[in-house]
Amino acid sequence: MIILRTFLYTLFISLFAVAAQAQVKKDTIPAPVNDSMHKPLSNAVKTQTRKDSASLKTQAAKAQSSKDSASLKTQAAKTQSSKDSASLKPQAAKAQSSKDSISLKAQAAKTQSSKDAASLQPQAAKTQPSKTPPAAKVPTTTFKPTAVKDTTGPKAKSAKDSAALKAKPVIAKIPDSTYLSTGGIRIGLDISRFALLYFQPYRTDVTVQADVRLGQKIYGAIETGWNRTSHTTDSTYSYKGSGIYSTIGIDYDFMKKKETTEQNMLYGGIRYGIARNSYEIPHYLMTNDYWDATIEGSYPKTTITAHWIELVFGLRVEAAKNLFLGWGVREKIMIHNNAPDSHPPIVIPGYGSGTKRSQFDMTYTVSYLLPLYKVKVHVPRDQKK
Amino acid sequence: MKYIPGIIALLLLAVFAACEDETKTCDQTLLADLGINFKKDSLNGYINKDTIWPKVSLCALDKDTIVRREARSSVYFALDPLKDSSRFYLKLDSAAVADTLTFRYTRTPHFVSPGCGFATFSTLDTVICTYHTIDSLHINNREVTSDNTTNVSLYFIY
Repeated sequence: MIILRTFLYTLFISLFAVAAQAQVKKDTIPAPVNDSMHKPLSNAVKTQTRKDSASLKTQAAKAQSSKDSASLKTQAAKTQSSKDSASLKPQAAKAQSSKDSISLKAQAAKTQSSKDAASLQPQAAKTQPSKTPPAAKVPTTTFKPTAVKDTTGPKAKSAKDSAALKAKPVIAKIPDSTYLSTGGIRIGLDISRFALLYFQPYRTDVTVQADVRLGQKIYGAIETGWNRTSHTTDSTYSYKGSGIYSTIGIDYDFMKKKETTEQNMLYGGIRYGIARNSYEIPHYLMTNDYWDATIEGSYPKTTITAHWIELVFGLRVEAAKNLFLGWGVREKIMIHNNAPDSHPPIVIPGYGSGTKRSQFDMTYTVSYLLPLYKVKVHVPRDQKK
Repeated sequence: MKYIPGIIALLLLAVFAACEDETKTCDQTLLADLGINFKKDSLNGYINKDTIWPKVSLCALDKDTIVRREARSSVYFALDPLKDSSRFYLKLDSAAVADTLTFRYTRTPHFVSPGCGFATFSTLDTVICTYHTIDSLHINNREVTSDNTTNVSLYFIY
């Protein structure tokens, strides 16, 4: 009983030691990059490669010997017919050299199989010319990792898998590409305000926009403008007003650039706007037919302040070098204005209609970029590609 | 590519919306009329129902008739924009005795819209009436604007 237990313990310990040793050897296999790195193969791998090399050697030898025997037979027949023994010696020597070449070739194949069994393709070995020096063939063999799965055993496969796992991070560590893109201040003029004068002749607007690149996709945007409103054509009332406004906010560029020099942008953003406006109604007229009354009056000059939020979406295209054309749509939502309910302004500069709580607007901007600095743009490498 | 016509159409709509000349069209009424409706008071005020008088006549004192012998459950009329009080003659039925309504209010010129211009809005201060046919009255909304609300309810018992 004690002997049996001792035997079992010894067997268990020896198995554990063998397994641990095999594991250590597996872990020490480097990535299959060059020939010298394949030397510390495990015993199992060596055995397998030896078997493969032996079989390849046999196949190559068979193929070569069949060819050579045929040639020798032909040569022997030739020598027999000519009965020239002197010519037989060189042929025998040639045959010997071909045999030697077979053995050298087999050695080369063995060497190659010890390097990598995948590179040993029997057809290639068959078609190799026997007169080619074997030493010249050894360095020209290439590593083909796709054939490893077909020619190795399970243990060797696991060893190679671990080696492949070690090789993977080398591919993953390829650094992401970065490049420098032009940054600066882009100053523009909203020309849609001039077109608006045709549709709404009572208002005159001038709007200047500017944006500065803060990061890879973030732009700081500022806009300022002036408005003058004069409505005197209607007989019921006349109106005069003028004011200034400013908006400040950020834009985010959604466009994925195809070239490093591309500056086009498809952007969305948010702005905060504030306006200061003074207006007056010099004259108004009300009539009532039933009471046969005509009422005239005026409203004194009033100054108001308005605050609103804008949601912006637009496109900006570089039409010429540093010259941009862009359109944008924006929804403006009034937060607060201190205009009296009985006499709201017709136009709030930068916002639009003073009688509406929200306002839709469209802009068309011509702008020029003043390149002042460079922005480092980081492009993550796409693993799928 | 197939969405481009839709996008262009939306942009055109946006352009039209953004470029609309608000001074050209008046989309609101400039009439700031005071509204009165008639209610039948039953069970000492426990049940109040809208009622229709068969021959309602209404006019301001010394002015033209606004409503002449018409079946009505409510009437709407304008207050005098030149004075702070107005008096009206109201006869609900040919057999009923007419009542007089006196309204005292404050007037405010109000900018309705860029297309419509100004209208006179009023804030009711006091409403006084005779009680020949009218049993009682109640002021529902003191602001007389262009939103067509009923400002005063007249209650009758019959």
